[in-house]
This record gives sequence, C-alpha cells and structure tokens, in this order.
Amino acid sequence: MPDNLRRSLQASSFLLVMSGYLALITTQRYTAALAFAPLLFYALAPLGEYLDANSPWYRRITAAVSLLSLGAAIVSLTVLDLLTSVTLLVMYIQAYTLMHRKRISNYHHLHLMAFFLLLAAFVQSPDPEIAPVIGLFVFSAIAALMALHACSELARNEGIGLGEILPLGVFDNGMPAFDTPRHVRGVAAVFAAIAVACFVLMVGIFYLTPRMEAGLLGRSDPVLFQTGPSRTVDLSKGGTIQQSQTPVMHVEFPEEPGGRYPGEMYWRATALDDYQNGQWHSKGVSSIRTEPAYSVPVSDIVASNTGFRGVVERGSWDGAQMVRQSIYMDDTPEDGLPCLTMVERVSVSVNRHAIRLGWSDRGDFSVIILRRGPQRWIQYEAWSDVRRFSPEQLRNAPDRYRELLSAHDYERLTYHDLLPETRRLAQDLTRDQQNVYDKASAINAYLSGSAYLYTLTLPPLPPDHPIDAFIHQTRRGHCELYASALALMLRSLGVPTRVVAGYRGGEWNDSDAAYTVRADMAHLWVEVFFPGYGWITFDPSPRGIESLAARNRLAQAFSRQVLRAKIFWYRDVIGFDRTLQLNLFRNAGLQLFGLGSELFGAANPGQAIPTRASWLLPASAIVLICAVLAAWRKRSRARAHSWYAGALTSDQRRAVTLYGGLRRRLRRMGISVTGLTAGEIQQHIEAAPIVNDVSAVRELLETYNQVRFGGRPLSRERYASLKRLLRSIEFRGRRT
Amino acid sequence: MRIRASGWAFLISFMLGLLAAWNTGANLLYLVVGGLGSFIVVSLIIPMWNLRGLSVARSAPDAAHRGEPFGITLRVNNAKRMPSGTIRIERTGPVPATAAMALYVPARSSILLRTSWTFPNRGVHRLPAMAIRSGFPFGFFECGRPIRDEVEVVVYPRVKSVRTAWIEHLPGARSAPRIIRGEGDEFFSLRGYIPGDDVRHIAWRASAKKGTLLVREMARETSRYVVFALDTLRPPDVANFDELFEDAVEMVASLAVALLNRQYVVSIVSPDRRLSGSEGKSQIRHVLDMLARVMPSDDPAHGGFGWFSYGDEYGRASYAFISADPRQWGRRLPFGGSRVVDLREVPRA
Repeated sequence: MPDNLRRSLQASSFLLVMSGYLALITTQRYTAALAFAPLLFYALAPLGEYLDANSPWYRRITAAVSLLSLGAAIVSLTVLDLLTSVTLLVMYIQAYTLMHRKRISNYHHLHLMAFFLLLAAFVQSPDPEIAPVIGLFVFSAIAALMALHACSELARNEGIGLGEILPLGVFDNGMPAFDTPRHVRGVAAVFAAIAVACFVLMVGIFYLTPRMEAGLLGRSDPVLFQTGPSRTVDLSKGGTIQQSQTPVMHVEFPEEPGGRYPGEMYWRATALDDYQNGQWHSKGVSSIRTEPAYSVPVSDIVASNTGFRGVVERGSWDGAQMVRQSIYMDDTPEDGLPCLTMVERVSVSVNRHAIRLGWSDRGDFSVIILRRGPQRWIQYEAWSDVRRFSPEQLRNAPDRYRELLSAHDYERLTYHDLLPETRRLAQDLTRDQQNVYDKASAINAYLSGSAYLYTLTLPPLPPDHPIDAFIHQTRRGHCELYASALALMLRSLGVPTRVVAGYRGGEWNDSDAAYTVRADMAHLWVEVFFPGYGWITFDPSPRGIESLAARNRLAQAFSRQVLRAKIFWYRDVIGFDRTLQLNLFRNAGLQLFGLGSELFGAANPGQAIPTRASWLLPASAIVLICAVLAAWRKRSRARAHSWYAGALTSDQRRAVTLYGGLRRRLRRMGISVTGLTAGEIQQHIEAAPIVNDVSAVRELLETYNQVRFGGRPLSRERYASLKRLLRSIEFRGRRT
Repeated sequence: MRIRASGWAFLISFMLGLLAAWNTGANLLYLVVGGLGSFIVVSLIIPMWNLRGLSVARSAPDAAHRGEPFGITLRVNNAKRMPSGTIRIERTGPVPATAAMALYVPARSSILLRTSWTFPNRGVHRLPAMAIRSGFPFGFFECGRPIRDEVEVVVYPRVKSVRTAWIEHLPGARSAPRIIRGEGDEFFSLRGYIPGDDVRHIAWRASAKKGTLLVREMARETSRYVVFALDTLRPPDVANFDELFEDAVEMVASLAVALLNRQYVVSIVSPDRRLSGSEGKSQIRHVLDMLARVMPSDDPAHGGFGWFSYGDEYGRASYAFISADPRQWGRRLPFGGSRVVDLREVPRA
C-alpha cells in the first residue's frame, strides 16, 4: 500500500473516530474529557501494534481483557441502561482495534463503531453543537471511505502493478508532465467536489424526504418527568445579582405589523400568591375561577384541559386582542412557560411528543406548566388575550372581594407581615384615594419615585421583616423588593395582590424581525385583582434598569448569532416537518415560477405572497446563472490557452496570450486555424493574403515562436505594442 | 452496474434508517438517512462520471506463441478536466478477473497499464475481452464499459529445441553436394551456439578464448533444402487428435525454425496452403505465420498425402512428411522412398 494512501486512511479514520466521540460529548451525559480517549488510543496505537506483532503475551492478555470486558458489559446492564452499556462496549472494541495491527476489515469495524457512537449521540438529544460534528463526520467519512476503497482495491488485486503516469511530451496537446503538486491538486479537487456533492445531496434528501406520521410501527415516548413553576422568592437574601446576557427567548410576532409588538411586553411565567416569612410561594386560588371576567365557563375549561398534551387552550375573553407569539427557548424553563399576559392557547411546534403542556394544577388559567423529556429546548406558539382597560374603567371596578373569593383565598391573597409603620405609610399614601386603582397607582408612584434606588447589590435584609427594612431603611433594591413592597402594602389595605415572575421587555433585532429576551430581563412585578377585570399589572420597578448592566456589544452579537444558529438547527432541522416541507415547496414554487399556489395552497392559506419577491428571485437566479456560465466560459477559455501556464515564464505566458488572441481573431474572420501550428498559419496567411496586414501576422507569429520556444524575452512594452498590432489586423480577402 | 457487498450494506442501512425516521419522526434520523442517501447517490453517479472521457487503447505484439504469456499494454487516456479516481481493467468472461488497475488518472493525461495474457491455441485471435470498471469513490457500486478494439494477435505454435541431424538423411535431394554449411565431415566455419545444436559440435577451445559458446559448422554434403509436407486430415477414429495435431505442428515449427537458423531453405506444404522455399529470419516469420493458420481438416482428400505433388524444388530438396495420425507414422510413401516421419523418433535437444 502506498505510504500516502496509508496515511490518508489513518488520518481520516482518526477524524471519523474522533467525531464519534465528539458527538457523544454534545449530549449531556458525557463530558468533554471523553475527547481524550481517542487521542490516548491513537497515541498508544504504535506501541500496541508493535506488541501485537512481537509479543504473544500481549495478544493473550488483550484477549483475556476482551472477554472480561464482554462480561462486564453484560453485568453493567444491571447498573447502567442498555445504551450506555453498549456504548461503553463499542468504545472498548474501538480501543482494542486501535491497539492491534489493522487489516482493511478492521478499518471497516472502526468506521462502523464511529457511526454507532454518532447514532448513540443522536438518540440522547444532543446540543446544537452536534451540527458541526455531523459535518466533520461526513467529511471524514468521505475521506475514509475513499481511502478505504482504494486500499481494498489494492488488497483485492495484490500483485497487480499500478499504472504508470506518462511523462511529458506524450500528448498531442503538449500537456505538462505529471508532477506531484498537480497530482495533489487533482486529488483535492476531486475530494472537494465529492464532499460538496455529498453535503448538498444530504441537505436535499433531508428536506425532500416525505415526512410521514410517526408511530407506524409503534413508539414509546421518552421517560417523562415533571417540571413546574418555581414557587419561591426569598427576599431576605442579600448580595450581588450577576446579570447574564444569555439569550433565553427568541420571540416573533408573526401577525403584528413589521413583527413589532406595540405594547409593553411582560412575559409571564408564573404567579406567586402566597407570602410567608419573607418568601413568596405559589399555591393557587380556587375560588377566583368563578370571577365573571372569565366569560367562558371555567368548569368547561377544567374538564377539557386536564392532563398534558401538545396543545392547551381555553376559551377567549370578550374584548381581548389576540396576540400570536412564536417563541423559541434554548432551555426549557422550570418556572412555567413565558407568554404575554394572559395566555389563551399554547401549542408546541416541534417535537410535540417530547414536551407536554398543561394548565397550572393550582387552578390558575394563566400559567402553563409542562412535562418534558430529555430535550432541553422548546419551540412553541402562544396566543394571548391582551386586554387594555382605561383607568376610568378600573376606578369603577367594585371592591367586593369577599363575595368573589373564598375566605381562605382572600386571606392568603391579602396576607402580609408588615410592621405598623409600613401599614401606616400605605394608609397615608392612599388616604385621599377612593378606589383600588388609585390606591395601587399611588403606592406604585411612591415606590417608583426618587426615594428609592434600583440596584442589584444590596445588603442582607432581616429575615422576619425584609420589606419593612427595604421601605424604611435601605431604600435600595431590585425588582423583587419593589414588587413585594407594592404587593404587601396593597395587601395591608385589603386588596388581593400577587407577584408574577417572568421577563420584561425584549431586544429588537432588525435582521431577524424578532425580539431577543435575555436572562438579565428576568423580572418580578405585581398583579392586582380587580373584580370584573381580572388581574391587572402594576410594576413599581423603575424603567431603564437595563442600563445598569455593562453591555458588551460583541458578546451580545455573538450570543445572538449562536441563538440564531440554534434556532435554525432546532426549528429548520430538528423541527422540520410536513407542514414546513409543504410550505417550503410552495414558497419555492411561487417565488421561482409563480406556481404551486393551487397545489399547496392549503398548507398555509393565510400567508400573503410578497409580490416583489415573485419576480426578484427568478430574476436574481437567472442573473446568477448567467454570471456563473460567463465566468465558467471565460475560465475555460483562459485555461485552454494557459493549460501549461505553470510551466511557462511570464514572458512566455504573454506570448501565448498573444498567440491565442491572434487565433481567435482569425477564427472570427472565418479563417480556419484549427489543428494548424504557428508556422502553418503563417504559411497559410502568406499564401493567400486574406488579412489587411500580413506582416503584422508574421511578426506576431515569429515573436510567439521566438519567445515561446526560443526563450527570447518579451517586455511589457513590446507586449502592449503587439497587442495594438493584433487589434489592427482586419479581414480583407476572400474567406477560405 | 454492479452492487457490491458494501453497497448492499448501505442500501439496507438506508432503508432501515428511513423506516426508523418515518416511525419516530426524529429529524436527526432523517439527517442520517440524508447522509446515507447522499453517499449512495454519489456512489451511483461518480463511477459513471469517473469513466467519462476515459479511453483505453490496447497494444500487444503482433504475434505470440501458443501457451506462452505475452504483454498487453493499456494506455488509459483521460480527456476530462478533472482527474479520475480508481479504475480497474477487468477481463470479462465467466470468471472476471482484474487485469490491471490504477488509483489515479490525472486530468488530460494518460497512464500506462500492463498485463499479460496467454493464448492456449494457435490461430489468429483477438485480444481477450476486457472492460474498464470503476467503483470510485466508495466502491458501493461499480459500473463499467467494454473496451472495444480490434487488436489481433497471431498465435504461433510453440517452438522447441530439436536436433536436426536426421534431416540430412531424408531422401529426395538429388543435386550434387556443395561445400556449404551442413553437417558433413569437413569444417566450414565457427558460429554462435544456438539451442538445439549438437553439443559435440561445440568448439570448446575457441569458446573458451571468446568467452561464449561457439559451434563448429561443418561443410554439408547433402541438400540444404527441406520441404515439410503436413497432413491435416482429422481421422474420425483417433482419440486426442487435436493434441496430436498441435504436437505435429509444433514439431514442424521447431524443425523449420531450427533449420532456418542454420541457413537451410525451408518450404512447407499442406493440402490447402503452400509456402515457397526461402531462408533467413523473414522465412521464420512466414513459416510460423502459416503454421499458426493451419487447422485440421475433415476433407478426406486431405489425408494420406494423396494431395501431395512436387513443386519447383523437386530434385533439390529433402522431403519430410509429417502427419498427426500415429497410424501413418513410418508408412512408406510413393515419393522416392519417403516415409512418414515417426514423431516419436525425432530426437529432442
């Protein structure tokens, strides 16, 4: 086997094995340290091969270890799951193969094992980092299979000599001799062409393979475990809150003009209604379901929404504006699913079988909780009823809480442990206010004022009365303290309130026409119950608090690109389904040919087709194709005349260019020069003077011969004058 | 298009992967299916593309001897702008076998491949059927096309070393003896040793001086013109006649070549062919060429040397009557006391 071929096989096999391990690392089960395993195996492989060749003891010991490993793999099934056991066994087989002498079939085994590791990674919900690993795997698989094929052919036909490359001068067109750089370039070009073809085909097959309804042969869903909203906010903790700019949500408003949402965005995750000892918890209310604000009978909702499913919904409220959101979250939340207030319907867009949704099991039809499988990300669509009430409407809201709420619920929603001076402060602030709305607004304005400072660094507060300490002593804090202060002060006035955890705001990205919600936008605000209107948001925390964070634009841009790549991976690759496929075909057909609306019209009937794109895209495609064809033609012409450019001096190349120009010019005149040498052309022209300047042709041809074959110099000035001479040649006689 | 074992493995994997993807709806499995499918499609297309622009020109010696291998040179020319990957030249037939292979054919270049072949029978034969095949790049599928050319090779009979002294005693030559090279008693000259020469004629002292074997040529007292008459009738009741006939032809060829190397004039006649007497290297080629084409005949008129008639050489030549039919060996013929040569008695070198 030639050395370079053997080296290619070894290198590509190493990459293939390595990519199998890297694929495993992209799952949560394995750490990055696993990448050292193949490195170690390959480092020790020469020693293993040497021992295998020279030491029978080594062979006996490794055989014994293999038997033990097989037994250990079987025993490990009692401790580990089947996939892990088999994966470990595969790793051992790879290591064993690498540590012994290898025949062609052993390389087959190595590649097969690497493929198995990739599959093992696939079924363990890998991170999006698997995408480049797949690329590396395909790339190295192409190289490895090509090298393996060549080696197999050599092994199968052992004893048959390889071809001999003919030396310079054996070709009619005077091609240069075979040389190593050209050889390498040729191999590289072929490899690149095959790799590109494989990647394009892989993407094409992926997108074009018809999507069927899953479960033809039966399927068991992954093991589910339940997550729910975090039910605790501890106000007494001090310290500094580190702001993380990690994007947590990518939000699109498909039905809003320009994709922008006009209102203030409160991404409501969970509501915390129980306050005890400086901590907020979620316990839920039962009696508030009878509130007339829910125009849909709550009993129906309860009956139809028990259990977890891919879609949850309730009836819509009268007079609410429906806002549709398409949300991608990189990490499935454990604090409820963030949606705009108040969510009416949520549908998981991708991998519906992996994540199941349900309303909060505490009777709150404003919080979505979920069950998830091993998958960490989620893509979902939410429809929210956004209701806007005027202050006047809210001022007129009745305050008959005891009629609407059970005594237990009312007590919990108005419970507080404020000190008397804080209660007095609340009463003083609202002394002149006659209704709940004005009272809440007054306290809200007081807390939002200059008397309090928003900060993320605060000292520990007393565990028994943290809010009193905030209101009267420290007067500095973050949203948790602001919101808690408002909520508890209102509670001290007998108004049912709760705090809500989620995110506030969003960062608009023009390029995506979408909002990015970052981790540092996490927020806590207050909801006050208004009979007849439901829970109304009040937020005492000052606006513009994001300016407190030192924004790193580069880090933001990078994290945005990472998020975009992840969204592409999860939504357009992992989440690619029949609907997306049909939409893809439909849009492609419409944009390229203006066809397909009838065929695929049902796929997305509401979507308007951009009229500009309907002609812009085909026109761009045609221009692009023409440009590629023109470039290809120019290049092939250039190559036809400079095939051996690498073997020529710059003077000779100029002479060849001139000669090529002369041939083209004569050909355009209808003079056939095909198959004629320079000397024959000269004889031909001189015998039948069909051009206006025979001497010019002669000079050009003689110069070409002298420079090209005689090694004479051809300066740039002389070259320029000859070009002018060339342009002066015109047809004058009868064509031959 | 042939599907090889690895190709079947990939096809089955592809189908299983597709079923799994359809069943689970997992897009990562669709991605695996896409990868496998791309490899399969590339393996289907690239071999055809790999063979595009490749032309194979075979060249072989004009003549070869029966049962002896000879070289075939294959010039594979790649007219494409892209190089071609692994190619194989395969001898087609019931049991295909690789004749030659190349890992790489540079763009717009040629490579030379060499293989050998042995024809088991005399005659004029075309080069064996071959095909150029390629499984590049992965070897899952292999496509090929036959090499179409009309290269012919004349297959001569085998030439063995034989002694020719007994030729001198054949009847038929009636011309006066001349002092020319022959196997008489008088010294004529020294020449280089030719396999088949009687070792008794080696001039050891002169050979030692010269450093190479030299043979004493003696003046000849009898005719130097030998006519071989070859009977070609295939008797229906002789077993293994074809082998016997091949032996007879090889004997004629061996004797003729040995005699021509000794400056004899040799002529060969058969029922349907006649090679005029001549000497020298060119006559060797003519003799072998004629013998390559002589085939057994079922025409009864071709048997028993009844077809034989003297030619221009009558009176100058010795006649050797050769037959493949063992029953004919030693039979007296009505041509000046001639007998059919008993091939068993011909001394070998």
